Amino acid sequence: MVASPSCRCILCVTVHVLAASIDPKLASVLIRDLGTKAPLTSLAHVKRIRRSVTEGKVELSIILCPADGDVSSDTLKIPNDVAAIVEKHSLVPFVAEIPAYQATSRAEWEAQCVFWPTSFHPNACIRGSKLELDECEAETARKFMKEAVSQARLAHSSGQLANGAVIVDPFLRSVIAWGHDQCTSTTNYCLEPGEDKEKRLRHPLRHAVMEAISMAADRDHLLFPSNCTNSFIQRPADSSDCDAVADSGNAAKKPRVDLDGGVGFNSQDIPRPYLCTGFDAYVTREPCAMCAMALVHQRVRRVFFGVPNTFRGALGSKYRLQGIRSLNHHYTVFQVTISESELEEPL
Amino acid sequence: ISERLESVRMAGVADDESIMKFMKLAFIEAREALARLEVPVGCVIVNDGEVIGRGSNCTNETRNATRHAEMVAIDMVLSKWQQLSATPNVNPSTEGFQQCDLYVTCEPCIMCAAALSLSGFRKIYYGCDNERFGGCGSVLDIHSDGCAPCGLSHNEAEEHEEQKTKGFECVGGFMADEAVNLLRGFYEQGNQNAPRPHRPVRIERSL
Ligand SMILES: [Zn+2]
Ligand SMILES: [Zn+2]
Repeated sequence: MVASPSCRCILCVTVHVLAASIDPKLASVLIRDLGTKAPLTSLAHVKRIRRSVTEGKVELSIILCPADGDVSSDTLKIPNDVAAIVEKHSLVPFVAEIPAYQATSRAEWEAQCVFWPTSFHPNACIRGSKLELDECEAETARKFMKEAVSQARLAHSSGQLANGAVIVDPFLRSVIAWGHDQCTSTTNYCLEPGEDKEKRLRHPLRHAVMEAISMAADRDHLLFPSNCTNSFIQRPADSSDCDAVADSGNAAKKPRVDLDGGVGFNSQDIPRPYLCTGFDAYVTREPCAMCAMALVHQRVRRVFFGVPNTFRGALGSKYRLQGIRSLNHHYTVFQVTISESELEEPL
Repeated sequence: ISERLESVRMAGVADDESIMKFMKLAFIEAREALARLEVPVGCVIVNDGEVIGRGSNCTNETRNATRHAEMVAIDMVLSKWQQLSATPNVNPSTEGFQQCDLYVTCEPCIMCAAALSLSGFRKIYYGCDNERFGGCGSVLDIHSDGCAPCGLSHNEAEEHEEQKTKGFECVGGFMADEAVNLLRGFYEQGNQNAPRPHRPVRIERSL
């Protein structure tokens, strides 16, 4: 079930397991029973039990066994020994995603613990940070970052702050929404009869990310006019396949669809995603807290940013939103090096 | 003279009675959201004792998860001001939010708290705490840290950090139980539009 062993981002490489919430009183019995009957040999770095606190209530979940088969189906096979334990304690199994590999740095460890707690031994293995993209992925990322840079230049040329964003569907390999900073809007109005004056009313919230999210929402309405929510199907690319962008070897499986603003596109070919689940966002500058949280709300899968915002950046500089455990969604963050000056070049 | 001083003092600070009056209006908005099967959070924007904007969550309808009550209300006020600015001799500006207070049924999330800072609000009154997402003390302290536009260049940010990161006063706990009950009722019936995080699966013995 490992998505791709050659993937460089260890946070994206996950495996599916069956887990269940348990009564804390059962914890030690279950750890012992499952430890002998279903040892997690290939996942030695993963803690068997996850403890989470919701609304002051402690909840324990335990890994039962690796998930075997199609995790999107409603029925999964389970070894007899484990099934007996499930029946004995009336457990309700669910599919969980856990990190496939041991973390190689404290930062990686903290980030992967968001999914499921793992253990970390600082001196156990010292390799380069796996959070770096490989050449193929990096090239794809640079390509889409260029689109965001064009948006920034467009903003700059119209007197706005030079920041741009695009949202990419890695499944279609295309930009599905874009936006640039529009905090300063210009309206022409008449001050006195016959006199044209330019007047500016600021909209302090129209940052590039917010504009792109808004466009993605409009596109969703356009492609999937029905509000029927049971049309939601988790597409396979969502679950564990983190390098759909770069994985050109699998091109045969992935339909290429060119989207001209949605015209001529048969939306029945593709299931309606929930918000921006599975999509990537490219932003020329490290997002502020508003934009970073907006990307959490909209459920993007990965965020690539260019220039760090050392004062108020919320993805590593001032805050590190992707690591806040109480949030209901966590994306992976990458930095694509671009220079500040290229954002202000003429189009 | 003392009477006049009193009224001057009261102009800046809302008294308990008026806080409750505006909180109740925010709850009307929240209940409207619930009726539309949206997360029941509502708010009103008040300027000089008068409600100038209102909003409630509409993330499901718009499929835009950033359309929280606060964002909707801010947009409503800005578009009003935009229209006014087209009229001669009227010059409203976004600085106007510096005289505005916001009353909201639940502690603003990190995104909304940042938006309130970016807009320059004076004071926020809220109902229940938002333990998992709150930006006014529960998870992050955006209300005191302030937020700056992410489009600012490095140099601009360095020059203007003080002016560009405006915090705001905030105080919570108004009608908190009622806010919690509203949210609990919603989540028990289930947010029909969100995929369930833990989908129970049936299992079948192998072998
Ligand atoms: Zn921003
Ligand atoms: Zn919010």
